[in-house]
Amino acid sequence: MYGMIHRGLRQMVIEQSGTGAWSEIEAKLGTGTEHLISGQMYDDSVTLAMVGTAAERLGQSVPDCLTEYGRYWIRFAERGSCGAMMDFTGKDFLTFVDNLDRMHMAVHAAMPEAIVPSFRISGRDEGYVRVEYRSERNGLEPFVTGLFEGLLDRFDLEGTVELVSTDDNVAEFLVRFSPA
Amino acid sequence: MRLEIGSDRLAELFPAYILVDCTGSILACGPSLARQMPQLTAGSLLTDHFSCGGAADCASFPELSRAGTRLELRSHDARIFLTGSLLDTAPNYLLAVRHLPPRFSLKANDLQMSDFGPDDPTVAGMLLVGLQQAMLEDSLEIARELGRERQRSAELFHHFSRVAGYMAHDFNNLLSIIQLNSNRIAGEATSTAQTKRLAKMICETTERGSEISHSLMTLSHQRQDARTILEPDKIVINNLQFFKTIVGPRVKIELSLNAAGRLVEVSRIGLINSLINLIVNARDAMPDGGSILISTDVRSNTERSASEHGGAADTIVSCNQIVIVVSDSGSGMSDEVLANAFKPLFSSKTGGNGLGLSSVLEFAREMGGDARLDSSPGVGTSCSIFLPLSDAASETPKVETNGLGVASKKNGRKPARIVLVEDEPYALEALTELLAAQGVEVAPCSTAEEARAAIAAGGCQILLSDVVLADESGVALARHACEFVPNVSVILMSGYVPSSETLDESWQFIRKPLDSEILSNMVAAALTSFSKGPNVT
Repeated sequence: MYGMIHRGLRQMVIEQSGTGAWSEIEAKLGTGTEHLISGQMYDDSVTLAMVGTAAERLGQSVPDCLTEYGRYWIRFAERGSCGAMMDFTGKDFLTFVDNLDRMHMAVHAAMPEAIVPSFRISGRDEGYVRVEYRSERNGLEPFVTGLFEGLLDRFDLEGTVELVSTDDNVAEFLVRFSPA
Repeated sequence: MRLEIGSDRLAELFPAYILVDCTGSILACGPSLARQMPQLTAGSLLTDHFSCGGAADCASFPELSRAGTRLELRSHDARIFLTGSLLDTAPNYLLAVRHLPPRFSLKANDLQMSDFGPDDPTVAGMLLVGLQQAMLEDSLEIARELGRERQRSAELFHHFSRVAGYMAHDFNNLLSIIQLNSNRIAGEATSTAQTKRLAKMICETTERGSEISHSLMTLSHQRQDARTILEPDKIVINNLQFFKTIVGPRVKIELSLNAAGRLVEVSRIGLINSLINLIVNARDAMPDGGSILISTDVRSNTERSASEHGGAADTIVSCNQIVIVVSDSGSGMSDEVLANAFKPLFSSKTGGNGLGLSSVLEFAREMGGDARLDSSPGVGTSCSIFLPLSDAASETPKVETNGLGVASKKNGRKPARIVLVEDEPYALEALTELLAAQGVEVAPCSTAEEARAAIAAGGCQILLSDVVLADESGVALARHACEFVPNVSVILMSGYVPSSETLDESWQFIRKPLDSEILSNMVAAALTSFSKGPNVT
């Protein structure tokens, strides 16, 4: 995954447990600042090792850590250098999710080696939306759950995110929401 | 051809469309314009809100639609720029236009992805620019982080260096006192054989203690030192006594210097520390004694130093270099040890810190050269340092006389006079006694101030001073002595070599803890030099 993911994880660990906690993680993994270059692609094994070690350090299971990191990622991205891109992608929950693929296409154009996910709204009605999530990577559904929860917060909505089905590389989420 | 399209689909394909009648009155607009220009109301004239390039007025609409002329619209407040086609949708006209941002920066616009049609390439362009800007911002932040980390590391290392230097200096002073007085005990005529043996044990133990402090200094003294033009042959000669204090009495140092007058531009401290590291390794390879050869030569060929010889992997050694070789006749290295010898923290010695050879390689490469090892088990080891030659003239500062000092006469008939400066009272006492036993007059001083007074009193031929004094640096004192007595010999005592820019090439150094025999020899040599005339080194 690209380095910005690592930077977000680092910031989350630091905010929760201090810079010493992140230094411990780096020492354990043998990683350093060179693994935090935003536009640089790193092997997934590096990212997964960081997440696993961070989960251990934070006293969480890996899935719980992924979910929390998904929520945190939205805040991290909107506060940071990607804030303008997020605003451009959409100013409400449905528009944002609907435009995610177009946004990821631009990421892929800039970083051809990036493995980008796909999100497609497969159904919607008053107060809910069904989203199909496709990715070549496995096991990131908890992270996606956190992303949706983070987006609900971003757009001042209350709601729930439920993984209703998984099949091959496709997972379907049901997101219920209402104004906060 | 007639095409029917619903308003929803039209809004999806052209979010910024405008529908006008034949008088130019606005009938409807797309959701993007509705959001960005709420004043764009039905019934208002198009020209009330936009300047229309390519269409002077709506009377030209029929012709424009037939000709397919490209429309360009600019809002009167210059925030919105639209471009597209005019379509005849009789009885009305459809301006099938899209946004054309004057700047592709996401932050400079109020535009969103939904303001563009599904296949509008402008979206990809703006996202790419946005991504590029985001990466650039992050790169700048990372560069700042790396800079701060480097600064913190440098500060920490500087602090550590200072603390280690002070500790090593104080420790060496104590060892020096112990060693000097042990030598005094051993030298006493009334000492028994047992006493002399015990004194010798004390001396050997202080030597081992000294190695610990010097390892600490090697670790901590990798600070930035100014590069100066110097002559390696002279460096070796001037520090020979210093090197002899390192190897001890059982190891002999021989020289084969063939680069006289040839210069390099390197860190003086780095070069001396590198030689010290190599000499220590050579000594340790010969626990039963032996000889170390220090040689210099000039290379004018291009050779490839292959990794099988233990050097940096496949290094090209380029032309015009001085090579300094330190060779021993010790046990040599196995292939496995040779292959790893330059790696940091690798050591084949019990208790070794593994930093000596790696620091030698680091120094050589930082100076634009390289290092290489050659070894055969049972035969010995040679380490070569390659340094690029410099064409510059030596910047050896000349000692100036200001006419105030009166140089002692070369062939003075008074006893030779040494101004001895040492702020450790026990060391001062032991050294005074040692030197007096050689038949020289000693002016013992515990401060630089006392030393200046002793120099001013006249007759000073040798200044023997600790580098670190309580009230002034020994180096500054030495400079003063050279100005006052132009042909004075300077011997500085220290646990480490001070920074390059403060030194004179003619000065000698003796390493602490002091070896009485070596010090005596240095003093004797200095006295001989003084008697022959000025500036003979």
